Amino acid sequence: MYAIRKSSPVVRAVPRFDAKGLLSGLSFILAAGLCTTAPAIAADPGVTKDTITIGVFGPRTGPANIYRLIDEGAIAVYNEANAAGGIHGRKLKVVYEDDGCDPTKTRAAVKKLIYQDQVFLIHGGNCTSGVLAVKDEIVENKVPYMVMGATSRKIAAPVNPYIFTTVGLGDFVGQAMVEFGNSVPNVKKAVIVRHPDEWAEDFTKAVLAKASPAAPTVIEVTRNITDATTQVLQLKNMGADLVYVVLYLPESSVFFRDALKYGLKPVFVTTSTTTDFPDLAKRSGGEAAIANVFAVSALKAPFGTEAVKKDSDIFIRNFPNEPTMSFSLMGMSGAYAVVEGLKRAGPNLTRESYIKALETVNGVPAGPAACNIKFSPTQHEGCRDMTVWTSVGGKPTDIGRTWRKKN
Amino acid sequence: MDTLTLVVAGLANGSLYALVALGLVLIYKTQDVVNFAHGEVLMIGAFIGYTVFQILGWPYPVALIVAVIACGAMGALIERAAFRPLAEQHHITLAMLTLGLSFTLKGAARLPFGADIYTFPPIFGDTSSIVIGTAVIAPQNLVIIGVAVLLSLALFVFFKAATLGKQMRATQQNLMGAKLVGINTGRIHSGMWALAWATGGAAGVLAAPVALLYPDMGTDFLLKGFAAAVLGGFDSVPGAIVGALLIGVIEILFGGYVSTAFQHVSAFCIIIVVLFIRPHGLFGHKPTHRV
Amino acid sequence: MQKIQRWFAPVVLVLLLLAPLVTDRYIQYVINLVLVYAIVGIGLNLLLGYAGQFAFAHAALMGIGAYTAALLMFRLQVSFWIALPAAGIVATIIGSLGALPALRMKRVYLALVTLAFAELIQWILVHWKGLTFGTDGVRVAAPEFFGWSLKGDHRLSYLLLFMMLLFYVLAKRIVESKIGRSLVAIRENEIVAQCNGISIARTKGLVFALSAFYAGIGGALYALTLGFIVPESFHMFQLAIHFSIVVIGGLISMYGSLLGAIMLTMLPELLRGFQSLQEIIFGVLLSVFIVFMPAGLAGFGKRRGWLPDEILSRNWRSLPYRRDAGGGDRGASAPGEQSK
Repeated sequence: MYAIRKSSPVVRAVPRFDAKGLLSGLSFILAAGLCTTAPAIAADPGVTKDTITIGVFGPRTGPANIYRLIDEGAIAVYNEANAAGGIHGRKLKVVYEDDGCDPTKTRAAVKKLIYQDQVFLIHGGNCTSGVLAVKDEIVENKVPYMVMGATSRKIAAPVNPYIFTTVGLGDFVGQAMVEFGNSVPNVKKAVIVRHPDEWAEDFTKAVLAKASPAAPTVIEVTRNITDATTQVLQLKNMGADLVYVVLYLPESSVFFRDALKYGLKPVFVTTSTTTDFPDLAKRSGGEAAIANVFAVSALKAPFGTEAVKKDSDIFIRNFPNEPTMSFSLMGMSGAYAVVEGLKRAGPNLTRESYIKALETVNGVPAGPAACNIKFSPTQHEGCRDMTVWTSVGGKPTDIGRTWRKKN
Repeated sequence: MDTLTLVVAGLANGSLYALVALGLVLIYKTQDVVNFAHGEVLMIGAFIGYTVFQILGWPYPVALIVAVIACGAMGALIERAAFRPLAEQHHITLAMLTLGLSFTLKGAARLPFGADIYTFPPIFGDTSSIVIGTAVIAPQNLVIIGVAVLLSLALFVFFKAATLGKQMRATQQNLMGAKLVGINTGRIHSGMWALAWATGGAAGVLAAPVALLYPDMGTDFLLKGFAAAVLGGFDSVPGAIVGALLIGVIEILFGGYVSTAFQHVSAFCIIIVVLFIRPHGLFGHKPTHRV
Repeated sequence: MQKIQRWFAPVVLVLLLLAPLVTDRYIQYVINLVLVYAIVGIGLNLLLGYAGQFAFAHAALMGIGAYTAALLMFRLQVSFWIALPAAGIVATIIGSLGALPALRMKRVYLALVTLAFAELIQWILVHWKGLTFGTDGVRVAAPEFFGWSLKGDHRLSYLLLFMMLLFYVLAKRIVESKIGRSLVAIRENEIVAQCNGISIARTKGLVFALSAFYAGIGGALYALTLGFIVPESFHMFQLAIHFSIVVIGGLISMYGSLLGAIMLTMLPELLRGFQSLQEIIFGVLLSVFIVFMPAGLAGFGKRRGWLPDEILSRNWRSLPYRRDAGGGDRGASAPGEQSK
């Protein structure tokens, strides 16, 4: 039964040459290549008599797909601009490519936007690694680029003629975090709780640089944890009374839940990802879990509140079936900047005139963002103002930039 | 640092890994397939639990039962539709099919549930943790451990005593022999898948109040469950449970006393060492070759 | 028909060489990815298909290759033409070290050990910042070929095409040699193979090393194609793609891996228009392909007579994998399991 069979493939002779098979495979590639060839690039693509094509890329698939809300916020703003009659008689046409937040796919998406969709400008990118993988492509083609949601400073610094951002960058948020942390009285032990990824790196560096008491301990949290017992117990052991939390929303709620469970009650300073306080409270097991959370926010106010009512309504009008979170507002500042730049560039729109115009923007309101957009030829990071929120009676409340005792 | 607190939390995590590992072992023993979609079974169970408990407002035990039944039915259906026709294909092909299934289920779950990260409210409301000496124990952890133990016992009794269970074991051990004595092996395979998916669904509902609910939530559970099953010896049900509890406790002790950065990979390091010494896991059988 | 087939090969080859003249850079980038994935897929097919070893470390080894090349070029300014073979060699060495325990193991145990190895590599890539820059990633500059810069997707494609053909022919030679037959003999039945004078440890070690070499080279070329690498690129999703390429293309088929690479790279691009439905369609298509073409595209084409036969690559169905027939790698261990 177990002997080698006569017909066993081991001893079977087969014709040797099979390049035909190989080449018929290769011809597939070729056919696909030939079918979709695009014409050579014109002087300034993406602008016609009555349209301006804007390329947006972001995740619609994969684990990061919740960030699509950021892109949709921006698209909502563009739709509103069209509803208001367009810009100098031209309507904005948005082309949206999925990148799944995977650098390989991001590169394909951006190449498609540039070489096939022939966009005038690009507004996109919610994941730093993806954006860094396409930076050379964008710069080489001199496509004006507005960052959508990626928070790394490496994207826009040092100043690059084509890259602009209005995102609350990790550096600035980190600085605001440490500024706030330093104003908290009677701190003996500060600790940073972070993810081991590039997103958390910027915040951590900024906090480490200026923290007092100096040199906070760093504790790592692996992505997708469902249990933060070890981190919380270590914090308790150290006697931490100030904890900088640089975690994504899901992990933050696990962390705060376990902190509540094991009775860890220091001051928590967090990033903009945890500014949906009612939501965070619900996830973490009640108001008690987030009583000591202070979140640095790049937004003026939470979704739906009075201060951002207009933009919240814009989002709901354009995407009635989508959830409404802080994410829904985060892409809007960039879109407002783009619209402003296009308006200032006037009817004779070229990429050059648009960039020139964008660099004159100084102090334009950024929709729901807590800043006024300021660009200049040497400054392409347009939003530097942050504010700190904390939950008072279940409602997120703006308390400025320094520590204030809650009643 | 309180060791008892850590151990109880570790046992609770381990119990979840055990339920995942059980499902993997059951399918592997019958059909030689590593089910890479098993993380998604857990995810579906969790979302069914969420729908029943949170949206329909029925009690938690009902949610558990509904998820178990629904997942079991899905498992049987998928076995009949996709895996039975391919039963004689290469095991790598079959494993790939489960991978395709995993993509599909994740994609499907994203349509209704992709927009948010859902949370299951704590079942015990605001009941605070139980404090014993210096140890702090969360009630949900006790529920997880309790239900996992009950389910494992039920399975054990089922395989030892029930006729169907005996037929299932017979089919596992000798397919041809089972056919010869008149067992409907096709139905047995479906039953096995149903059982495996049902435990996966139960794991989902149990994990729901602890974990966060999103379409990719199963991936890490699958990895740990797989590791647990292999550590115990992939053909041994009790081995899988012991392996899972060991992994749960070891990784949390590593995280607590060594470094949280190393917590996730510590389990894998230990497994490499164990398998180096015992290539068939702690309780696996070294196959004897007959030529 | 015969005549057409004879002319087909050279014409297509010439067209492929000329393709970069007419494609835009998006299409060319996708073609380049196909070529890179074909190399990686061929390497994995040697291990997974021909040798039947259920190993999960391929994405990690690809990462090692990519990082070796990128870091040598970035940190030490080593020329790409030295970094490329170095990437293959480093991946081979680490892969072989990792394979040592694996030589004793089978199936799920092997799968898990290699998976654990991959997790460790991922952990090291993220945490050893002094060497790898951690999650910050590494930028990879385009190499020069005798003063001619290979910058841009079109120029790069010539290098990739050459490498793909080279490694295709190399793998084919190996499979046709004694090694290939030893591999299949071991896959079929280790004891019978041993009785026939085949050294199991040496042959398995060799195929692990060889497939690691392919992964390393593929990784270096992948780094070049992307221009920027991060550890995350070499994690589970990458591995899932590799497995899909080999199985969809066809286990135990050289051009199968190429067909698989085309499928798996093109399909997501073609599905772009479906937006958030892409994932579910991709998953369903993957499942449907496996259900209806369990022997992969290559096996399907061969059975219909569209594609030429290959050495050692008969339809799986005819192989002694049927459990109740008692043969194959399951059969070798099944009787023992009964005795417990």
